[in-house]
Amino acid sequence: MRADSMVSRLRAIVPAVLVSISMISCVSIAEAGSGIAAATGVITTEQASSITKVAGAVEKTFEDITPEQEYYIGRSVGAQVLTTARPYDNTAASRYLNLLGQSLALFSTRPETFGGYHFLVLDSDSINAFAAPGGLVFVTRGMLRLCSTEHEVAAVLAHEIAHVQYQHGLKAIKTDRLTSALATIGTEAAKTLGPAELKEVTAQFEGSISDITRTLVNSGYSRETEYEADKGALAILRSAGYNPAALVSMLAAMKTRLKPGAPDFAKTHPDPELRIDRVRRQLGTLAPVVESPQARDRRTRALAGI
Amino acid sequence: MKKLGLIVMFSLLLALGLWAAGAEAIVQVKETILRDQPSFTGKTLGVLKYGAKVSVLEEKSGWARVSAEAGKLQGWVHGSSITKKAVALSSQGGSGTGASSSEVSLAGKGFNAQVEAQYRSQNAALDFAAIDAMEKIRFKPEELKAFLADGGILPKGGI
Repeated sequence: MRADSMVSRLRAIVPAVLVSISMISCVSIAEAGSGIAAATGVITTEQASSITKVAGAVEKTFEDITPEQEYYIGRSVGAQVLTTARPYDNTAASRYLNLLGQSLALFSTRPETFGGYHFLVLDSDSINAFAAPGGLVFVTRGMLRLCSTEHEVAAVLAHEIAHVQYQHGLKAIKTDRLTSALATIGTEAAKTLGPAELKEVTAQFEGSISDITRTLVNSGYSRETEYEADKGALAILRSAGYNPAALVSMLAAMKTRLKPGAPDFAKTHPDPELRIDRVRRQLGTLAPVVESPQARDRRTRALAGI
Repeated sequence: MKKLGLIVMFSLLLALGLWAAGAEAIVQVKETILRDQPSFTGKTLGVLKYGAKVSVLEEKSGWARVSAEAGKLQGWVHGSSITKKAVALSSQGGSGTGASSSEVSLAGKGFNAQVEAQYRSQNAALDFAAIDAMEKIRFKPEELKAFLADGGILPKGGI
């Protein structure tokens, strides 16, 4: 009897303790830390409060970047992408890509960015596509060659638009860099920076650009980030009226062409097979990708010789 | 039944009251078009520039009906073109109407044209002319609607 009541009392206490532990973990570590140290007399209350202040400044995220700042970051990231491949000089292809891409962007959750969505064909045989923050999207000739329908071109562009809509590029900026940059910006009252501040902010800008460019060109986003962009792409395709199953057929075509270890999409993206599995599960029964004769005509005309 | 009716009426009144209050927001993109309908193909009533103050009167599937230029203009803008967050940021700025530089205290600050110019001077090989050219390609929603229709693409909810 006694043992039983002990157990039942424990049963009541354990969840309560667990709840309070999880509540503590919700409090920012900085506050909890300084509180404990001050209570134990290791540091003074003043010191504790200044630690809390500094830690407060640390909690800056990509969300603190204004769309205008995102625009300037995107322009420079775009200029860096153009050091890896030159623009493909073809008016018809460029016009087609922008008509298609800007149409799709209307159906994203973020159709309006500071400077809008713009698309460029890169003169490269490798299979790749990049999205710079704010809406500058780059697609290689090699990637476009892989697409056998307008729906598949739309799937590639929708995936990149989704990266922009979720601000994945900005999330690649190192937190400490972002924090010090935003702190400098926040304390500067004037719009025009003095020489010392200009030097400092430009160094932080340069660092942010290389964080993003390195992620886009070399290391790639995490698998989860790519899955999120695929999910966003499906939503865009669906509401625009394109066949979302084209994302699966595009990935399947990619799988047959990508060479493991090649310095392109294979290096920066998860295995297409993993993405196909995910996308299929979100789509359910796949309707075949059918391209209207008009869409086929305009695609082949615009992308002839790509 | 009567009770339910009262609750519905009360909620409606409450909602109307909130709309009438008109949450303040600020245009956060270079420019956005004020339209007569919550749709990209709605008729253009005016153009609102970056930093312009608006009052949000109503929100509907991603669109906001706003009042701008001290009530002289009323219409719909897409929700992604405005922010309510910037209002807090702008509280330290001046008042006044239109797109004055003081509207959004963070507008033009930090990573701006000045910083880009400095970055460009340190990275002279970068091709910003190509980026400028890329940004010039901009189609109107009517052209995009026609493009989709010509290809037999029919958005379920329209544009």
